[in-house]
Amino acid sequence: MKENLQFQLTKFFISSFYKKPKQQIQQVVLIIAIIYVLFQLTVINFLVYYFMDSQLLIFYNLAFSILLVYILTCYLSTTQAFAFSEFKMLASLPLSYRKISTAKVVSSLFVPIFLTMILQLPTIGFLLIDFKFIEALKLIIFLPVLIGLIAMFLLFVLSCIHRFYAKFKSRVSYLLLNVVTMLLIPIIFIAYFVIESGLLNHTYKDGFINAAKYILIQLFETASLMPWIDSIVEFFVSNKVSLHLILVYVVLIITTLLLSYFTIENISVNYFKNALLENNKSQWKGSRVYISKNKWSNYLQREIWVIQSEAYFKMQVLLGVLLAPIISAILLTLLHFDALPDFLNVTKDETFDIYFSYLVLFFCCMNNVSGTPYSREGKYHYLLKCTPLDSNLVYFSKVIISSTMGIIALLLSFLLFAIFGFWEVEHLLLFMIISGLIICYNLLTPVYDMRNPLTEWENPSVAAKSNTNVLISLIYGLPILLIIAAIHFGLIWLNVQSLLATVIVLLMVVITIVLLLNRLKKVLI
Amino acid sequence: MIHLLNISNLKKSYSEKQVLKGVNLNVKKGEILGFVGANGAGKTTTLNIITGMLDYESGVVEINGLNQTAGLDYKKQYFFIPDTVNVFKNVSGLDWIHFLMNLYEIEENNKLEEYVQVFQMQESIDKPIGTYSYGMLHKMSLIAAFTINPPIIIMDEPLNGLDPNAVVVFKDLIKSYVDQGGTVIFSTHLLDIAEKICTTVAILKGGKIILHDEIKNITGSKSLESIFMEA
Repeated sequence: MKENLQFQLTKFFISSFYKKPKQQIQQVVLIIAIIYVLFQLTVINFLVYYFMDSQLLIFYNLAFSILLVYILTCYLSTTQAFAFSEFKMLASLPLSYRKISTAKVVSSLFVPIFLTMILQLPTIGFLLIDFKFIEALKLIIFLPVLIGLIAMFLLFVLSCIHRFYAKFKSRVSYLLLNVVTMLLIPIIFIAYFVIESGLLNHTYKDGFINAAKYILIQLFETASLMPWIDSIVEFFVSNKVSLHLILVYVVLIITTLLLSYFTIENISVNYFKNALLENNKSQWKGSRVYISKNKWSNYLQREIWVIQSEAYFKMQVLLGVLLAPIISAILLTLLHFDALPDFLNVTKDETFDIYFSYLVLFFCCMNNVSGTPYSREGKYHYLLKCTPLDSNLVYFSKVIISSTMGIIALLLSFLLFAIFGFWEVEHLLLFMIISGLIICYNLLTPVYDMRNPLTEWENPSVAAKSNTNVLISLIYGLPILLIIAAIHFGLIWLNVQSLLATVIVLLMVVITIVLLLNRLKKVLI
Repeated sequence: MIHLLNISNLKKSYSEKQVLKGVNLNVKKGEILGFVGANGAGKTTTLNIITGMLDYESGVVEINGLNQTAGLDYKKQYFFIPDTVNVFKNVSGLDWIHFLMNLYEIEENNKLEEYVQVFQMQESIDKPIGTYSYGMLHKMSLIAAFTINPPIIIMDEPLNGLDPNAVVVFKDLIKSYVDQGGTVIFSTHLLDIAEKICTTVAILKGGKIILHDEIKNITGSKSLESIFMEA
């Protein structure tokens, strides 16, 4: 029997977007990551179930699922729904743009919904232990519709921007607007909830568990005060099936379908025009070239070409530089206005500067630029093998680029730190420690990617985001940061004088860099 | 004479550079047209415009009396094989061809199996396309094209990457396809092969067709290569 055309096409998109990693180590890392998430989720579910009740467990689970599906949809949207990698393959075929757009949208929903439903296992388990069979059944049947609605809502908003893709002066500005939109929606929603629930006015002095319990109860009660959210929450937490609940369910389905319809319309209406623009060779602008006799400047120039080769890479570099200062600005503003709960307010602690420095370090390293520098070369990667490029210089120029990005982000964050009145001369040493750790991290993270680059990609986000080398690079880079941070906090905990502890850690960082450089030189040769 | 493909005064620019400066080209049913030109002459641009992969500023492009406003009916008039065949990597060649047959509303038939054997793709046709070599991708596309059997097959450098055996098969199949009422347009740099296969040749230079005639009229005493060099 002939398969439905739309179904066939959607299947092709799914199989091409969500392929299993080729190498065994990547598969193992992925499995470990999934098991780890499941385990952690089970522990949290158990804590919520043990310290609270099943209603709050379902509410917590709903909030978690919505957040997860939102993050996953954000993560995958630029790679799939709003990319044009299929254009050259399908444009000449007798296939309507609406059918192509439908397949893209449906396939974009597949993984977020599937993965979120897999992660329901611990919650369903706890509900069954509690004999809450109806609630468990409702979760299985109705949650896909709710999270589908959330994912569709985000795709709809992004599709409205995508519809006017041709109006953007550059692809970087288009991608940046997407990222800002993705961030603003949850920030506005969470801020509204936090303000409405009065969480900021409460003093949290009864420890972490009680504070978490209080926050969850307040959020649950606030949700109950908003009629439309209350209807949805009630739908999941009650053990009854009434006409009202069925009506809510039907409304959810109709809204999801309407959003899908308009999203598909938004993508397909300018599909040809936008795809042409994306594939337009004449848009290429010449890059300034600084060829000199200095080897380093030529190798660094080459790295800049790799970044400039895709708008997506340029945007990532920009985000990588801005992420840490933005987070620092938010944190410092919250602290300045005393808006953080007591248990999160670390300014009262004498070691706030150390907490702040390591927080900035974490955000400086959180971009996946340093973990995939070879994969990003894509179809140009062969040049590394067939031209007389010095592998040492290539490697270190990659490290220099990612370290420079990190250090600029660190400098901006410390500038904010100073503006908010926290600066002392001793912090220069902390700045040096974190800069050193950024260099250590960037020295280690490209090692795996250097040996196993993922160069066969059409869409640049595949090289940067959907690349399992990102995960593996963390295994290479994070341990050393964690060990040094642990030693630093350990010294403070042992009441070693703050300045002395900082000097000791700085020495350790310098020694680590020297050792790493020596070791890497041998490995690279 | 009714032309199957009719292009008149086709113009196209990239930024400020005009690539096509009024291309006129007519192809009759049963022709094998070799589209010849230097690198950057605009061959691929013309083929991309015909196949709906590129827009154009002005002119007329019609196949079987239909223009691109006819949408899918227009696209069902041809099958296009680009110079770089780009297909979902995880899908098998067989699944992809079945999908294309579904798209062109072609019923299951034994032609597919026949062409798979002729192109010696029995062992790889059900493997993921990501595992195919450049030549195998072209073979797969040729199998799809001949199985679908559309009014026109349009190809951009179809002989690139084909092994000698496949080139022979390609020539035979093209001739048999045309004998059954098909029409072929293909761009190529290989002038000697174009001379042997084509019934008609069009030379594109400076954004215009400077020569378009039957091969027997063009190559009386000279080879196509020397005509091309003189043009």
